[in-house]
Amino acid sequence: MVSEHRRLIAATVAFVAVLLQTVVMPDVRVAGVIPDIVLLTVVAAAIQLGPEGGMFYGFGAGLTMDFFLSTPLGLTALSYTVVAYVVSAGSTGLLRNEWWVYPALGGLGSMLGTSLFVAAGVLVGQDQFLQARSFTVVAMSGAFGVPLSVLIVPAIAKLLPGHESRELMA
Amino acid sequence: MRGGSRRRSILVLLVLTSVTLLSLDGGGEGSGAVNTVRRFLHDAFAPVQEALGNAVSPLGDIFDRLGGSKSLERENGRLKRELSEARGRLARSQGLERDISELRKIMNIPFVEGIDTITARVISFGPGNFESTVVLDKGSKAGIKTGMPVVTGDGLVGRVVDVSELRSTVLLITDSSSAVGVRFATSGEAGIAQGRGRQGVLDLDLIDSAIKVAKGETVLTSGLQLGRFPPGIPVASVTRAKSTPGKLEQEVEIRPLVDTRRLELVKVLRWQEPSVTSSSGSAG
Repeated sequence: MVSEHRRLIAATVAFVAVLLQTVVMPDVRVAGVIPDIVLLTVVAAAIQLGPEGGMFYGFGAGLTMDFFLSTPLGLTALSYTVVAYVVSAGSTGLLRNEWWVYPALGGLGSMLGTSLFVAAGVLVGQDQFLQARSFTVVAMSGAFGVPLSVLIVPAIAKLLPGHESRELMA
Repeated sequence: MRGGSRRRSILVLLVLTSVTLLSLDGGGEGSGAVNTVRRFLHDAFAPVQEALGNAVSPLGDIFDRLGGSKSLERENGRLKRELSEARGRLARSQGLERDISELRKIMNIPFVEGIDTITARVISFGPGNFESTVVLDKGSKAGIKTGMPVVTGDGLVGRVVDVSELRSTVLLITDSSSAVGVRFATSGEAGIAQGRGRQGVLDLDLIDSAIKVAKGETVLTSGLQLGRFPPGIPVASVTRAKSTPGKLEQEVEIRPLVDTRRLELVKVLRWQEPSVTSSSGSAG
């Protein structure tokens, strides 16, 4: 369970991430691709809050982003929710003090989130996703996720201390 | 085990909620309730986004300047701050000069004569990787409505696809869901200019392979029946044309006359398509 205090912090983190994504990140493009820092906060939240907290965070942050995109409402929420579940399940039991863990989770989580977004988009009739550029976007998302997760995951770990210690205590 | 089952239930619940929202939104066109919430959020976020935008732009300059320095003594720091402020003032005045020049350019656009216009500033680009949109600093309060065409002095930019009270979103002609009915300026041959996403070029479809297409030739909006744009707005120029024997259509690539990556001031035309239908992706 996530306490009220942690919920408030998580909501604030999501709000700030969405603000940065909509105001600052569109100007930070590499090869025409914008890094998705909201998705990286979902990866970080999944690691820190566990599957349940991570999924609710992913759904909320994704839904907020959906309101700023012209793609159908719910598409980002869906992909971020699944990413949170997979990352949280996949990171259980990993030695988190290993230097490569966060970059690997950031890179793979970003690629998975973008791939899910594209796949779900195609299923709901977003034909513009059916192009070679989508592969570039997925690959670039993974490439952005590696270095950015080194900054974002530890920052969120400080704001939302990990769930594993509490699970062990329970 | 109970924890695992609970997690799976939450996953299913959230996925089902997302799918319900997806069906409610109807492919991005938005139902009444969805659009109301979307517009409310756009307006609610607008002042915060504006404040953050203003705050981070000088910060970027400061980081740029600090990047090369090692140890800063007090005096050195003071001088650098003064220099930074002077540069800021210079940048602001250069920005104002650029605005004046842009304004002059869009004051007398020949191809929109007779159509009322609203001048607006592009305040941000769309945050998504799968859409080419820009956000304008004006919305329904200034008279902007969904479907209105947007131009600069160089030509067509796109059309308004979403409007809140204070903001509007413009779908650029380069977006892969954008299709514009066009004709060649010289031959009058009609076709459809289809966006390709962020690649900065468009495909010109439905051009008969028997038609001679010259590189550099300009295409204009056709304004054919049920068109989304008034006729005669310059759209793009031909960069490549290739006819393949046995094919009825030729492959024509065109480049927009407007540099969609460097938009500042634009004009929204108070012009609405003859039939009131609003779906992104249909030809105009």
